[in-house]
Amino acid sequence: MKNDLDTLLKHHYEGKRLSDRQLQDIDDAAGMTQWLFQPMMACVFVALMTVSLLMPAFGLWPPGASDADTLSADIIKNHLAGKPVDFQAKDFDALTSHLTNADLPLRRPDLLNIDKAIKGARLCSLAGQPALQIYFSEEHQERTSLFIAKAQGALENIPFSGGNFDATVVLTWAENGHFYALAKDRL
Amino acid sequence: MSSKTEELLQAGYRYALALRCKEQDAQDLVHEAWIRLNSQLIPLVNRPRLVRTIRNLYIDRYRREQILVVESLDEAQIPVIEDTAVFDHSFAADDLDACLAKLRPPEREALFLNSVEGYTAAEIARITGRPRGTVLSLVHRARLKMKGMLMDYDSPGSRVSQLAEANTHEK
Repeated sequence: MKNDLDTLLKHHYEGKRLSDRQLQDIDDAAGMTQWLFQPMMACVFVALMTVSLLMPAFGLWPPGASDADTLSADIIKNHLAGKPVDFQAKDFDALTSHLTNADLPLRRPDLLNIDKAIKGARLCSLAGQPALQIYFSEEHQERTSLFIAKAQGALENIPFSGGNFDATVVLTWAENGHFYALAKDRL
Repeated sequence: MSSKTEELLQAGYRYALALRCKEQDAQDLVHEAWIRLNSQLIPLVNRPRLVRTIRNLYIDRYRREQILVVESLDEAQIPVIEDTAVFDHSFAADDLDACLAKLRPPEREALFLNSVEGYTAAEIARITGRPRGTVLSLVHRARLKMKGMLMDYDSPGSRVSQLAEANTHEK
């Protein structure tokens, strides 16, 4: 009888079989593990889900920063980044017109009297809301930025507040349906 | 036990045997792989997953042997013959086992997957994570070695043949 290697090996391995007893042992062991692990894992899963859902209700989680801190961090980040302006001072009339069309009329804050010249402006994001960052001319390398946004969402009902954050002073307030923030370098 | 499950376990056992070449070790590998697959949160047991689990267990368990690759000094003396050889008689399972045991595990695995399971070199490369060229080389070498050893069994008066005959008489 002539056999090539493939046939020989196929026949050889076909003869290699687990006995019925061995098969049963393996299946029984797997069955026991399933019974042991499945309900246990399901219980652990349900317990974890319950705890994770209940933790915020008890104020335990998430331990993140407050909204005010997040807003201040956004303001400082934009102020310190010093990104290039999108609009030069000479284009301010056009910018005002565009913003008015976009339902964000540019309005000079009543509470603030800045005698510095405007260098330019750029669009940015504060607490997920679109905002305008206006750069004022520097004096003694002291940068000043004014942020203006529509008082809505996270920027709604912001009380007048101020604080010192490392090298930056931040003032926030809202008036006439607008949110304002002033960021200034501390010297 | 369903026939599908039995078929899966038998296939896994044959693959484990191709990896390890020792029946007890192969049984242990299948046993552990089967338990591992079934103890997952969502047990999804199919042939590719079983093969992969057996392979991972084999690598974990016999890692030392994987690292310390000991090339047999006799390897150079294994006769190598052309690829088209056919054999005049059936071999005893022990003889084939002895020949298979002389192959290196990667060669044995590649030969099993190619000759017995019928996978292509590209498929074996994907299963084993080796380059296709390496797989082709492993299969080729394994086939030549096996045929050389089996031809040695075939030729009357050869040392291996005499040993095989002596074994037959003893049985």
